[in-house]
Amino acid sequence: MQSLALARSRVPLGLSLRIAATSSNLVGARRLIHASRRVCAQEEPELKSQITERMRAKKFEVTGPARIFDESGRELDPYKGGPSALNKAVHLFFFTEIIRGMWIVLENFFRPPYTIMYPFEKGPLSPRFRGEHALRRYPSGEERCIACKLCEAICPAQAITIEAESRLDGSRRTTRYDIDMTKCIYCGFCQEACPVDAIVETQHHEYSTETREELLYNKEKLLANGDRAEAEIAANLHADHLYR
Amino acid sequence: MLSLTRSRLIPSLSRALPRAQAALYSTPSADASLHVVTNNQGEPKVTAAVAPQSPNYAAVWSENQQPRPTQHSGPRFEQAVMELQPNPLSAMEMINSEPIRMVNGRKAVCDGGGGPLGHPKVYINLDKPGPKGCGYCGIRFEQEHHH
Repeated sequence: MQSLALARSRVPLGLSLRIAATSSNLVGARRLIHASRRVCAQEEPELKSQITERMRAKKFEVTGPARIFDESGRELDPYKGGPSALNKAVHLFFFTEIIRGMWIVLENFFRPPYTIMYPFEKGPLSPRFRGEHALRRYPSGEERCIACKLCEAICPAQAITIEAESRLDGSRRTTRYDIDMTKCIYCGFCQEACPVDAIVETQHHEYSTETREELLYNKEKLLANGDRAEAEIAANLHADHLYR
Repeated sequence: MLSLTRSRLIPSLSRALPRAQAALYSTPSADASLHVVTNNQGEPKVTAAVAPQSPNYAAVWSENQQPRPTQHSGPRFEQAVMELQPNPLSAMEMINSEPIRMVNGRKAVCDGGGGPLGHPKVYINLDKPGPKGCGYCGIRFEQEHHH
């Protein structure tokens, strides 16, 4: 199986080389090489150098294929180590691609299914998942949001509305923090803009409602979301803090 | 498990919540949400009262803050179950019950704790008497005098 796959991967390389060698239009030849499989990417520097060498050779040599010589003057075979004509013919006439595809189907037929019992069993979510919004607190209980309104400014859907005022103890906090979840496009710009990680998007994503008004979130709802999911949010932020 | 992690992450939340719940459920709900006023004709007239803004603080904590709606504040809330609406704790009350941190020296340093989970580090000047709060997380610091 493995040897078959290796042999197959070499076929387009050999073909494209041949096309490059025979084609007079060098730009077309390069395009063909790049359109072939990714195996070419590893040997790309060598291919490029061959092409440039041929470009130089073409100026002086009007007819005949380009020939490559090493330092001691011996001619090099560019197809050395590639699949033989017999090898390629075998793959072509015995439909090995089809057989290998059918083998993969057979393997998966005997594996356990990937299906999960969704409402009771849920798949893994990334720590960067962007779901329902939440407003966080510090461990002391103080709201993190300092009403800088960066999230309101950056929100491309203009879904956030903030009003701020001094509190009775003199701290400037929001008196109103509304998110219209029907406008929100879940781009995550608000949590990226927030300097204190106050507004975050949690991993909760199953919050369908019966009425539209229930999706107009106010500060109480967002804070309650944050209180409920604080352990999860903190773990996710800590898992990702090296990359932000 | 959940309560354990929550108490570790938000200690003051877990401290304040049982107290607030006890205070909330000890008062009869009818008395808390409604005022029965008798007018001139002698028949009782039911008017909408101010609902407690949060479980641990009854009044609003900002001048222009919208008071918490009750079932009688408008047609929108007529059939709403107000007990099921989100009702988080007041941050002002929680930070007021947080003890003042005594600091040796003229300045306090606060970064919210938790390394990357905290806030930008700030230095707070404690020269003037009285506690000074951190502008981000609200924790109050005071200089400890030894003379």
